[in-house]
Amino acid sequence: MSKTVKDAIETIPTDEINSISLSLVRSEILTKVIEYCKKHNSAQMSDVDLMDWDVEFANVHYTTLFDLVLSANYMNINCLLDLVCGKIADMIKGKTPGEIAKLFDIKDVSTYEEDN
Amino acid sequence: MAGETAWISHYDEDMKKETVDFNLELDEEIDKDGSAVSVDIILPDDLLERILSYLPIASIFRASCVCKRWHATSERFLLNPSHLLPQKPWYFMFTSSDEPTGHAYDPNLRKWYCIELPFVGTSNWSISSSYGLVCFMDNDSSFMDNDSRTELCLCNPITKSCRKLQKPPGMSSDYGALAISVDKETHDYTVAIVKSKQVPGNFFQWDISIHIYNSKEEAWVTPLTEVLTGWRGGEESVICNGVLYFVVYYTGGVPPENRHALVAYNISNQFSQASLSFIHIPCSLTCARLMNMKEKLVMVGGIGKLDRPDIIKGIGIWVLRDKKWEEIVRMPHKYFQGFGEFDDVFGSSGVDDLIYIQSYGSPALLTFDMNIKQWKWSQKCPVTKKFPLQLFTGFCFEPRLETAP
Repeated sequence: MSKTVKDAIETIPTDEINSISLSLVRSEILTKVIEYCKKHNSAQMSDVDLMDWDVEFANVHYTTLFDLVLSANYMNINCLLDLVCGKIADMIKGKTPGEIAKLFDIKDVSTYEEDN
Repeated sequence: MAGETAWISHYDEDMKKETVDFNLELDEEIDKDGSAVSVDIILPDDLLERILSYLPIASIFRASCVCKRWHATSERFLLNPSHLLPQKPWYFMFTSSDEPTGHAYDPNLRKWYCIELPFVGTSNWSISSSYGLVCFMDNDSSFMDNDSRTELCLCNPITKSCRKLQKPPGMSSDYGALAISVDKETHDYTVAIVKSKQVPGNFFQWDISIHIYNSKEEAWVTPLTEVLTGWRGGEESVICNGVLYFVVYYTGGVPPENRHALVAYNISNQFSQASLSFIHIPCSLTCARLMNMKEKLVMVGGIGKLDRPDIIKGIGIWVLRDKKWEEIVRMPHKYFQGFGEFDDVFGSSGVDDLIYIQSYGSPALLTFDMNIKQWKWSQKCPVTKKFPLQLFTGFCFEPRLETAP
Protein backbone atom coordinates (compact mmCIF):
# COMPACT_ATOMS: atom_id res chain seq x y z
CA MET A 1 0.00 0.00 0.00
CA SER A 2 2.84 2.37 0.63
CA LYS A 3 4.59 3.20 -2.60
CA THR A 4 7.67 4.32 -0.68
CA VAL A 5 7.97 0.94 1.00
CA LYS A 6 7.18 -0.83 -2.27
CA ASP A 7 9.89 1.10 -4.09
CA ALA A 8 12.38 0.39 -1.34
CA ILE A 9 11.61 -3.31 -1.48
CA GLU A 10 11.91 -3.37 -5.23
CA THR A 11 15.21 -1.56 -5.44
CA ILE A 12 17.12 -3.26 -2.61
CA PRO A 13 17.99 -6.97 -2.96
CA THR A 14 15.70 -8.95 -0.63
CA ASP A 15 18.37 -10.64 1.47
CA GLU A 16 19.86 -7.29 2.38
CA ILE A 17 16.66 -5.85 3.83
CA ASN A 18 16.61 -5.65 7.56
CA SER A 19 14.74 -2.46 7.99
CA ILE A 20 13.42 0.23 5.72
CA SER A 21 14.18 3.72 6.86
CA LEU A 22 11.06 5.65 7.83
CA SER A 23 12.84 8.11 10.03
CA LEU A 24 10.48 10.98 9.33
CA VAL A 25 7.47 9.18 10.74
CA ARG A 26 6.87 9.23 14.50
CA SER A 27 6.01 5.89 16.08
CA GLU A 28 2.51 6.91 17.21
CA ILE A 29 1.65 8.05 13.70
CA LEU A 30 3.23 4.98 12.13
CA THR A 31 1.00 2.87 14.36
CA LYS A 32 -2.08 4.65 12.99
CA VAL A 33 -0.83 4.28 9.41
CA ILE A 34 -0.28 0.56 9.91
CA GLU A 35 -3.75 0.27 11.43
CA TYR A 36 -5.18 1.94 8.30
CA CYS A 37 -3.24 -0.27 5.91
CA LYS A 38 -4.17 -3.46 7.75
CA LYS A 39 -7.87 -2.54 7.73
CA HIS A 40 -7.89 -1.70 4.05
CA ASN A 41 -5.97 -4.81 3.08
CA SER A 42 -8.02 -7.21 5.15
CA ALA A 43 -11.01 -7.37 2.76
CA GLN A 44 -13.20 -8.36 5.67
CA MET A 45 -15.43 -5.33 5.61
CA SER A 46 -17.95 -4.19 3.02
CA ASP A 47 -17.28 -0.96 1.15
CA VAL A 48 -19.92 0.90 3.13
CA ASP A 49 -18.56 -0.30 6.49
CA LEU A 50 -15.05 0.59 5.36
CA MET A 51 -16.20 4.12 4.52
CA ASP A 52 -17.76 4.45 7.98
CA TRP A 53 -14.54 3.15 9.51
CA ASP A 54 -12.56 5.73 7.51
CA VAL A 55 -14.76 8.54 8.85
CA GLU A 56 -14.10 7.36 12.41
CA PHE A 57 -10.40 6.92 11.70
CA ALA A 58 -10.07 10.48 10.42
CA ASN A 59 -12.05 11.93 13.30
CA VAL A 60 -8.95 12.93 15.23
CA HIS A 61 -7.35 16.06 16.57
CA TYR A 62 -6.13 18.37 13.83
CA THR A 63 -2.48 18.00 14.88
CA THR A 64 -2.78 14.25 14.36
CA LEU A 65 -4.36 14.91 10.97
CA PHE A 66 -1.43 17.09 9.96
CA ASP A 67 1.02 14.38 11.07
CA LEU A 68 -0.98 11.79 9.16
CA VAL A 69 -1.02 13.84 5.95
CA LEU A 70 2.74 14.34 6.05
CA SER A 71 3.36 10.66 6.78
CA ALA A 72 0.96 9.44 4.13
CA ASN A 73 2.65 11.79 1.67
CA TYR A 74 6.13 10.60 2.64
CA MET A 75 5.09 6.96 2.53
CA ASN A 76 3.16 7.57 -0.68
CA ILE A 77 -0.13 5.94 0.40
CA ASN A 78 -2.63 7.51 -1.97
CA CYS A 79 -5.92 6.39 -0.45
CA LEU A 80 -4.93 7.46 3.05
CA LEU A 81 -3.67 10.74 1.62
CA ASP A 82 -7.03 11.35 -0.08
CA LEU A 83 -8.91 10.59 3.13
CA VAL A 84 -6.85 12.93 5.29
CA CYS A 85 -6.65 15.74 2.69
CA GLY A 86 -10.41 15.61 2.38
CA LYS A 87 -10.79 15.86 6.14
CA ILE A 88 -8.41 18.82 6.38
CA ALA A 89 -10.33 20.49 3.53
CA ASP A 90 -13.53 20.04 5.56
CA MET A 91 -11.87 21.89 8.42
CA ILE A 92 -10.88 24.76 6.14
CA LYS A 93 -14.30 25.09 4.49
CA GLY A 94 -16.08 27.04 7.17
CA LYS A 95 -13.20 29.30 8.23
CA THR A 96 -12.16 32.84 7.48
CA PRO A 97 -8.59 33.42 6.25
CA GLY A 98 -7.60 34.53 9.77
CA GLU A 99 -8.92 31.35 11.31
CA ILE A 100 -7.17 29.22 8.69
CA ALA A 101 -3.90 31.01 9.46
CA LYS A 102 -4.39 30.25 13.16
CA LEU A 103 -5.11 26.59 12.46
CA PHE A 104 -1.99 26.14 10.38
CA ASP A 105 0.03 28.32 12.72
CA ILE A 106 0.99 30.73 9.96
CA LYS A 107 2.77 33.72 11.41
CA ASP A 108 3.38 35.91 8.40
CA VAL A 109 -0.09 36.67 7.09
CA SER A 110 0.75 39.51 4.75
CA THR A 111 -0.53 38.95 1.25
CA TYR A 112 0.64 40.44 -2.03
CA GLU A 113 -1.61 43.48 -1.58
CA GLU A 114 -0.06 44.65 1.62
CA ASP A 115 3.36 44.61 0.03
CA ASN A 116 2.35 46.88 -2.86
CA MET B 1 -6.92 41.58 -9.31
CA ALA B 2 -7.98 44.34 -6.94
CA GLY B 3 -11.54 43.70 -7.98
CA GLU B 4 -11.31 40.13 -6.80
CA THR B 5 -10.05 41.18 -3.38
CA ALA B 6 -12.89 43.65 -3.01
CA TRP B 7 -15.35 40.89 -3.84
CA ILE B 8 -13.78 38.65 -1.24
CA SER B 9 -13.87 41.31 1.46
CA HIS B 10 -17.56 41.88 0.70
CA TYR B 11 -18.25 38.30 1.23
CA ASP B 12 -15.98 37.79 4.16
CA GLU B 13 -18.19 40.07 6.20
CA ASP B 14 -21.13 37.81 5.49
CA MET B 15 -19.01 34.82 6.42
CA LYS B 16 -18.06 36.11 9.86
CA LYS B 17 -21.68 36.14 10.89
CA GLU B 18 -22.31 32.61 9.76
CA THR B 19 -19.09 30.68 10.34
CA VAL B 20 -19.50 27.74 12.67
CA ASP B 21 -16.38 26.83 14.56
CA PHE B 22 -15.59 23.38 13.28
CA ASN B 23 -13.17 22.30 15.96
CA LEU B 24 -14.33 23.71 19.27
CA GLU B 25 -11.08 23.00 21.11
CA LEU B 26 -9.06 24.90 18.55
CA ASP B 27 -8.10 27.99 20.58
CA GLU B 28 -6.91 26.14 23.67
CA GLU B 29 -4.95 23.54 21.74
CA ILE B 30 -3.03 26.08 19.70
CA ASP B 31 -1.67 27.72 22.87
CA LYS B 32 -0.52 24.38 24.24
CA ASP B 33 1.34 23.47 21.09
CA GLY B 34 2.97 26.87 20.82
CA SER B 35 6.42 25.38 20.87
CA ALA B 36 5.79 22.87 18.04
CA VAL B 37 6.87 23.61 14.48
CA SER B 38 4.14 25.29 12.43
CA VAL B 39 2.68 22.66 10.12
CA ASP B 40 2.59 25.19 7.33
CA ILE B 41 6.38 25.33 7.24
CA ILE B 42 6.75 21.62 6.60
CA LEU B 43 3.69 21.28 4.36
CA PRO B 44 4.97 21.06 0.77
CA ASP B 45 3.21 23.04 -1.97
CA ASP B 46 1.95 20.00 -3.81
CA LEU B 47 0.33 18.72 -0.62
CA LEU B 48 -1.32 22.09 -0.04
CA GLU B 49 -2.62 21.95 -3.60
CA ARG B 50 -3.99 18.50 -2.98
CA ILE B 51 -5.92 19.81 0.03
CA LEU B 52 -7.19 22.77 -2.05
CA SER B 53 -8.52 20.40 -4.67
CA TYR B 54 -11.16 19.23 -2.19
CA LEU B 55 -12.48 22.73 -1.58
CA PRO B 56 -15.36 24.50 -3.26
CA ILE B 57 -14.22 27.48 -5.29
CA ALA B 58 -15.38 30.05 -2.73
CA SER B 59 -13.24 28.40 -0.04
CA ILE B 60 -10.24 28.50 -2.37
CA PHE B 61 -10.74 32.27 -2.71
CA ARG B 62 -10.61 32.54 1.04
CA ALA B 63 -7.58 30.26 1.22
CA SER B 64 -5.82 32.61 -1.20
CA CYS B 65 -6.19 35.38 1.40
CA VAL B 66 -4.43 33.52 4.20
CA CYS B 67 -0.83 34.46 3.41
CA LYS B 68 1.55 35.00 0.49
CA ARG B 69 2.40 31.36 0.01
CA TRP B 70 -1.23 30.25 0.10
CA HIS B 71 -2.08 33.05 -2.29
CA ALA B 72 0.57 31.92 -4.78
CA THR B 73 -0.41 28.27 -4.42
CA SER B 74 -4.14 28.99 -4.81
CA GLU B 75 -3.53 31.14 -7.88
CA ARG B 76 -1.38 28.45 -9.47
CA PHE B 77 -3.98 25.83 -8.61
CA LEU B 78 -6.91 27.85 -10.02
CA LEU B 79 -5.12 28.49 -13.31
CA ASN B 80 -5.48 24.80 -14.01
CA PRO B 81 -9.19 24.24 -13.40
CA SER B 82 -9.11 20.53 -14.15
CA HIS B 83 -7.85 20.11 -10.58
CA LEU B 84 -11.06 21.44 -9.12
CA LEU B 85 -13.82 19.21 -7.89
CA PRO B 86 -16.86 19.58 -10.12
CA GLN B 87 -18.62 22.70 -8.82
CA LYS B 88 -22.36 23.09 -8.69
CA PRO B 89 -23.35 26.23 -10.58
CA TRP B 90 -24.26 29.40 -8.69
CA TYR B 91 -27.39 31.54 -9.04
CA PHE B 92 -27.27 35.30 -9.20
CA MET B 93 -30.44 37.04 -8.04
CA PHE B 94 -31.06 40.73 -8.72
CA THR B 95 -32.17 42.04 -5.36
CA SER B 96 -32.22 45.71 -6.17
CA SER B 97 -34.44 47.03 -8.91
CA ASP B 98 -32.13 49.70 -10.24
CA GLU B 99 -28.59 48.78 -9.27
CA PRO B 100 -26.33 46.06 -10.56
CA THR B 101 -25.89 44.57 -7.12
CA GLY B 102 -27.43 41.33 -6.19
CA HIS B 103 -26.84 38.19 -4.25
CA ALA B 104 -25.24 35.06 -5.59
CA TYR B 105 -26.13 31.69 -4.15
CA ASP B 106 -23.36 29.10 -3.84
CA PRO B 107 -24.96 25.66 -3.48
CA ASN B 108 -21.58 24.04 -2.78
CA LEU B 109 -21.31 25.83 0.57
CA ARG B 110 -25.01 26.76 0.81
CA LYS B 111 -24.21 30.41 1.27
CA TRP B 112 -25.30 33.73 -0.24
CA TYR B 113 -22.73 36.33 -1.20
CA CYS B 114 -23.39 39.96 -2.03
CA ILE B 115 -21.83 40.70 -5.40
CA GLU B 116 -21.78 43.57 -7.77
CA LEU B 117 -21.84 43.15 -11.49
CA PRO B 118 -19.09 45.06 -13.27
CA PHE B 119 -21.36 47.37 -15.24
CA VAL B 120 -24.47 49.42 -14.80
CA GLY B 121 -27.52 47.51 -15.83
CA THR B 122 -30.85 46.36 -14.53
CA SER B 123 -32.77 43.16 -14.43
CA ASN B 124 -34.71 44.11 -17.55
CA TRP B 125 -32.11 42.45 -19.70
CA SER B 126 -32.00 39.21 -21.64
CA ILE B 127 -29.32 37.10 -20.03
CA SER B 128 -27.50 34.01 -21.21
CA SER B 129 -24.53 32.25 -19.66
CA SER B 130 -22.06 29.59 -20.65
CA TYR B 131 -18.90 28.25 -19.02
CA GLY B 132 -18.40 31.13 -16.63
CA LEU B 133 -19.25 33.95 -19.04
CA VAL B 134 -22.53 35.85 -18.84
CA CYS B 135 -23.97 37.86 -21.70
CA PHE B 136 -26.47 40.68 -21.13
CA MET B 137 -28.66 42.34 -23.75
CA ASP B 138 -30.78 45.40 -23.11
CA ASN B 139 -34.46 44.71 -23.71
CA ASP B 140 -35.50 48.25 -23.13
CA SER B 141 -38.26 49.92 -25.04
CA SER B 142 -35.53 51.79 -26.87
CA PHE B 143 -35.67 48.67 -29.00
CA MET B 144 -38.71 50.22 -30.60
CA ASP B 145 -36.81 53.23 -31.90
CA ASN B 146 -35.22 53.19 -35.29
CA ASP B 147 -31.98 54.15 -33.67
CA SER B 148 -31.42 50.73 -32.20
CA ARG B 149 -29.51 51.26 -29.00
CA THR B 150 -28.99 47.62 -28.23
CA GLU B 151 -26.60 47.37 -25.35
CA LEU B 152 -24.68 44.14 -25.36
CA CYS B 153 -22.26 43.26 -22.63
CA LEU B 154 -20.20 40.20 -21.74
CA CYS B 155 -18.69 39.57 -18.32
CA ASN B 156 -17.33 37.08 -15.86
CA PRO B 157 -19.18 37.80 -12.59
CA ILE B 158 -16.37 36.28 -10.50
CA THR B 159 -13.33 38.00 -11.96
CA LYS B 160 -15.35 41.09 -12.93
CA SER B 161 -13.71 41.29 -16.34
CA CYS B 162 -16.17 42.88 -18.66
CA ARG B 163 -16.48 43.82 -22.30
CA LYS B 164 -19.04 45.66 -24.38
CA LEU B 165 -19.80 43.97 -27.66
CA GLN B 166 -20.63 45.77 -30.85
CA LYS B 167 -24.30 45.63 -31.69
CA PRO B 168 -25.64 43.39 -34.42
CA PRO B 169 -26.51 45.29 -37.57
CA GLY B 170 -30.01 45.78 -38.81
CA MET B 171 -33.13 47.47 -37.69
CA SER B 172 -34.65 47.44 -34.28
CA SER B 173 -37.08 44.74 -33.33
CA ASP B 174 -40.06 44.14 -31.08
CA TYR B 175 -38.57 41.08 -29.41
CA GLY B 176 -35.03 39.79 -29.02
CA ALA B 177 -33.73 36.51 -27.63
CA LEU B 178 -30.13 36.00 -26.58
CA ALA B 179 -27.95 32.92 -26.33
CA ILE B 180 -24.23 32.38 -25.78
CA SER B 181 -22.08 29.30 -26.09
CA VAL B 182 -18.44 29.08 -24.98
CA ASP B 183 -16.09 26.45 -26.34
CA LYS B 184 -14.64 24.64 -23.32
CA GLU B 185 -11.27 24.04 -24.93
CA THR B 186 -10.51 27.20 -26.87
CA HIS B 187 -12.66 29.62 -24.80
CA ASP B 188 -13.93 31.12 -28.05
CA TYR B 189 -17.58 32.03 -27.84
CA THR B 190 -20.61 32.37 -30.08
CA VAL B 191 -23.42 34.82 -29.35
CA ALA B 192 -26.76 34.43 -31.11
CA ILE B 193 -29.60 36.95 -31.21
CA VAL B 194 -33.04 36.13 -32.61
CA LYS B 195 -34.96 39.27 -33.50
CA SER B 196 -38.67 39.39 -34.21
CA LYS B 197 -40.41 42.35 -35.73
CA GLN B 198 -44.03 42.59 -36.73
CA VAL B 199 -44.42 43.17 -40.47
CA PRO B 200 -45.93 46.65 -40.74
CA GLY B 201 -49.61 46.51 -41.52
CA ASN B 202 -49.89 42.77 -41.02
CA PHE B 203 -50.91 41.50 -37.60
CA PHE B 204 -50.00 37.87 -38.22
CA GLN B 205 -46.68 38.14 -39.98
CA TRP B 206 -43.35 38.51 -38.31
CA ASP B 207 -39.87 39.16 -39.66
CA ILE B 208 -37.48 36.82 -37.94
CA SER B 209 -33.75 37.34 -38.22
CA ILE B 210 -30.91 35.36 -36.67
CA HIS B 211 -27.63 37.12 -35.96
CA ILE B 212 -24.49 35.22 -34.98
CA TYR B 213 -21.34 36.69 -33.44
CA ASN B 214 -18.10 34.76 -33.34
CA SER B 215 -15.36 35.84 -30.93
CA LYS B 216 -12.62 34.59 -33.25
CA GLU B 217 -13.73 36.71 -36.18
CA GLU B 218 -15.15 39.49 -33.97
CA ALA B 219 -17.92 40.03 -36.46
CA TRP B 220 -21.67 39.54 -36.83
CA VAL B 221 -23.27 37.56 -39.63
CA THR B 222 -26.96 37.28 -40.40
CA PRO B 223 -27.36 33.79 -41.80
CA LEU B 224 -31.14 33.79 -41.76
CA THR B 225 -34.05 36.13 -42.29
CA GLU B 226 -37.50 34.69 -42.71
CA VAL B 227 -41.13 35.68 -42.40
CA LEU B 228 -43.24 33.55 -40.10
CA THR B 229 -46.99 33.55 -40.24
CA GLY B 230 -48.89 33.25 -37.02
CA TRP B 231 -45.78 32.79 -34.89
CA ARG B 232 -43.32 35.23 -33.37
CA GLY B 233 -40.09 34.85 -31.48
CA GLY B 234 -39.80 36.01 -27.89
CA GLU B 235 -36.98 36.32 -25.38
CA GLU B 236 -36.16 32.71 -24.67
CA SER B 237 -33.35 30.93 -26.50
CA VAL B 238 -30.35 28.71 -25.87
CA ILE B 239 -27.50 27.14 -27.84
CA CYS B 240 -27.11 23.43 -27.29
CA ASN B 241 -24.72 21.18 -29.17
CA GLY B 242 -24.25 23.65 -31.98
CA VAL B 243 -28.01 24.15 -32.44
CA LEU B 244 -29.82 27.38 -31.62
CA TYR B 245 -33.22 26.76 -30.06
CA PHE B 246 -35.78 29.46 -29.43
CA VAL B 247 -39.37 29.52 -28.25
CA VAL B 248 -42.03 30.93 -30.56
CA TYR B 249 -45.49 32.08 -29.59
CA TYR B 250 -48.72 31.80 -31.52
CA THR B 251 -50.16 35.16 -32.41
CA GLY B 252 -53.26 34.02 -34.24
CA GLY B 253 -56.61 33.44 -32.59
CA VAL B 254 -57.04 29.87 -31.42
CA PRO B 255 -53.77 27.96 -31.69
CA PRO B 256 -53.64 24.62 -33.57
CA GLU B 257 -52.34 22.72 -30.54
CA ASN B 258 -50.42 24.81 -28.04
CA ARG B 259 -49.58 28.47 -27.82
CA HIS B 260 -45.86 27.68 -27.71
CA ALA B 261 -43.55 25.86 -30.09
CA LEU B 262 -39.83 25.35 -30.33
CA VAL B 263 -37.70 26.26 -33.32
CA ALA B 264 -34.28 24.76 -33.99
CA TYR B 265 -31.60 26.27 -36.19
CA ASN B 266 -28.28 24.60 -36.82
CA ILE B 267 -25.52 27.19 -36.41
CA SER B 268 -22.54 24.90 -36.31
CA ASN B 269 -22.46 24.23 -40.02
CA GLN B 270 -21.14 27.42 -41.52
CA PHE B 271 -21.32 26.47 -45.16
CA SER B 272 -24.69 25.02 -45.87
CA GLN B 273 -27.91 26.99 -45.55
CA ALA B 274 -29.73 25.60 -42.57
CA SER B 275 -33.43 26.24 -42.22
CA LEU B 276 -35.76 26.56 -39.28
CA SER B 277 -37.37 23.39 -38.04
CA PHE B 278 -40.39 23.40 -35.76
CA ILE B 279 -40.61 21.08 -32.78
CA HIS B 280 -43.86 20.62 -30.86
CA ILE B 281 -44.12 21.36 -27.18
CA PRO B 282 -45.48 18.47 -25.04
CA CYS B 283 -48.50 20.21 -23.54
CA SER B 284 -50.14 23.54 -22.99
CA LEU B 285 -47.61 25.71 -21.20
CA THR B 286 -47.92 29.06 -19.49
CA CYS B 287 -44.26 29.75 -20.07
CA ALA B 288 -41.18 27.86 -21.21
CA ARG B 289 -37.60 28.28 -20.06
CA LEU B 290 -34.78 26.65 -22.02
CA MET B 291 -31.41 25.56 -20.70
CA ASN B 292 -28.34 23.65 -21.82
CA MET B 293 -27.67 20.88 -19.34
CA LYS B 294 -24.49 19.07 -20.37
CA GLU B 295 -25.33 19.61 -24.05
CA LYS B 296 -28.87 18.29 -23.63
CA LEU B 297 -31.76 20.66 -24.21
CA VAL B 298 -33.90 20.88 -21.11
CA MET B 299 -37.12 22.85 -20.78
CA VAL B 300 -38.82 23.95 -17.58
CA GLY B 301 -42.42 24.78 -18.30
CA GLY B 302 -45.42 26.07 -16.43
CA ILE B 303 -48.29 23.69 -17.09
CA GLY B 304 -51.52 25.49 -17.85
CA LYS B 305 -55.05 24.41 -16.99
CA LEU B 306 -56.89 22.90 -19.93
CA ASP B 307 -59.72 25.41 -19.86
CA ARG B 308 -57.59 28.33 -18.70
CA PRO B 309 -54.15 27.91 -20.29
CA ASP B 310 -52.96 31.19 -18.79
CA ILE B 311 -53.31 29.86 -15.25
CA ILE B 312 -50.46 27.73 -13.95
CA LYS B 313 -51.30 24.50 -12.17
CA GLY B 314 -47.88 22.91 -12.02
CA ILE B 315 -44.32 22.93 -13.30
CA GLY B 316 -42.69 20.22 -15.36
CA ILE B 317 -39.19 19.49 -16.61
CA TRP B 318 -38.57 17.88 -20.01
CA VAL B 319 -35.50 16.88 -21.98
CA LEU B 320 -35.36 16.78 -25.78
CA ARG B 321 -34.19 13.48 -27.23
CA ASP B 322 -34.25 12.94 -30.99
CA LYS B 323 -36.69 15.82 -31.47
CA LYS B 324 -39.09 14.28 -28.94
CA TRP B 325 -39.73 15.54 -25.43
CA GLU B 326 -39.25 13.18 -22.53
CA GLU B 327 -40.74 14.23 -19.22
CA ILE B 328 -38.21 14.03 -16.41
CA VAL B 329 -40.23 15.18 -13.43
CA ARG B 330 -43.09 17.35 -12.18
CA MET B 331 -42.61 19.66 -9.24
CA PRO B 332 -44.23 18.07 -6.18
CA HIS B 333 -47.21 20.02 -4.93
CA LYS B 334 -45.63 20.97 -1.61
CA TYR B 335 -42.83 22.86 -3.36
CA PHE B 336 -45.28 24.47 -5.75
CA GLN B 337 -47.26 25.67 -2.76
CA GLY B 338 -44.10 26.68 -0.96
CA PHE B 339 -43.68 29.62 -3.33
CA GLY B 340 -46.92 31.13 -2.21
CA GLU B 341 -48.29 32.89 -5.21
CA PHE B 342 -47.09 31.57 -8.53
CA ASP B 343 -47.75 33.64 -11.60
CA ASP B 344 -48.13 32.00 -14.96
CA VAL B 345 -44.66 33.28 -15.81
CA PHE B 346 -41.65 32.51 -13.64
CA GLY B 347 -37.88 32.37 -13.89
CA SER B 348 -35.79 29.27 -14.32
CA SER B 349 -32.20 28.70 -15.27
CA GLY B 350 -29.82 25.78 -15.07
CA VAL B 351 -26.34 24.44 -15.87
CA ASP B 352 -24.83 20.94 -15.75
CA ASP B 353 -27.06 19.00 -13.36
CA LEU B 354 -28.67 21.76 -11.33
CA ILE B 355 -31.85 23.66 -12.21
CA TYR B 356 -32.97 26.75 -10.31
CA ILE B 357 -36.60 27.85 -10.22
CA GLN B 358 -37.88 31.07 -8.75
CA SER B 359 -41.15 32.90 -8.72
CA TYR B 360 -40.84 36.56 -9.68
CA GLY B 361 -42.76 37.61 -6.61
CA SER B 362 -40.31 36.49 -3.93
CA PRO B 363 -36.66 35.67 -3.32
CA ALA B 364 -37.47 32.02 -2.61
CA LEU B 365 -35.25 29.74 -4.67
CA LEU B 366 -35.81 26.07 -5.42
CA THR B 367 -33.27 23.69 -6.92
CA PHE B 368 -33.64 20.41 -8.73
CA ASP B 369 -30.64 18.11 -9.07
CA MET B 370 -31.07 16.14 -12.33
CA ASN B 371 -28.49 13.60 -11.30
CA ILE B 372 -30.05 12.44 -8.03
CA LYS B 373 -33.57 13.68 -8.89
CA GLN B 374 -33.80 15.73 -5.74
CA TRP B 375 -35.71 18.92 -5.00
CA LYS B 376 -34.26 21.25 -2.40
CA TRP B 377 -34.88 24.79 -1.22
CA SER B 378 -31.81 27.00 -1.18
CA GLN B 379 -30.70 28.64 2.04
CA LYS B 380 -32.99 31.57 2.73
CA CYS B 381 -31.90 34.62 0.76
CA PRO B 382 -30.77 37.41 3.10
CA VAL B 383 -32.87 39.91 1.15
CA THR B 384 -36.56 40.32 1.82
CA LYS B 385 -39.29 41.83 -0.27
CA LYS B 386 -39.40 45.56 0.39
CA PHE B 387 -42.56 46.54 -1.42
CA PRO B 388 -45.51 44.56 -2.79
CA LEU B 389 -44.66 44.91 -6.48
CA GLN B 390 -40.97 44.17 -6.14
CA LEU B 391 -39.81 41.58 -8.64
CA PHE B 392 -36.95 39.17 -8.30
CA THR B 393 -35.19 37.63 -11.27
CA GLY B 394 -31.85 35.99 -11.77
CA PHE B 395 -29.70 33.64 -13.75
CA CYS B 396 -27.57 30.58 -13.25
CA PHE B 397 -23.85 30.62 -14.01
CA GLU B 398 -20.71 28.56 -13.50
CA PRO B 399 -18.13 30.14 -11.17
CA ARG B 400 -14.97 30.05 -13.27
CA LEU B 401 -11.80 32.11 -13.21
CA GLU B 402 -10.30 31.01 -16.45
CA THR B 403 -12.78 32.45 -18.96
CA ALA B 404 -12.71 36.11 -19.93
CA PRO B 405 -14.79 38.04 -22.43
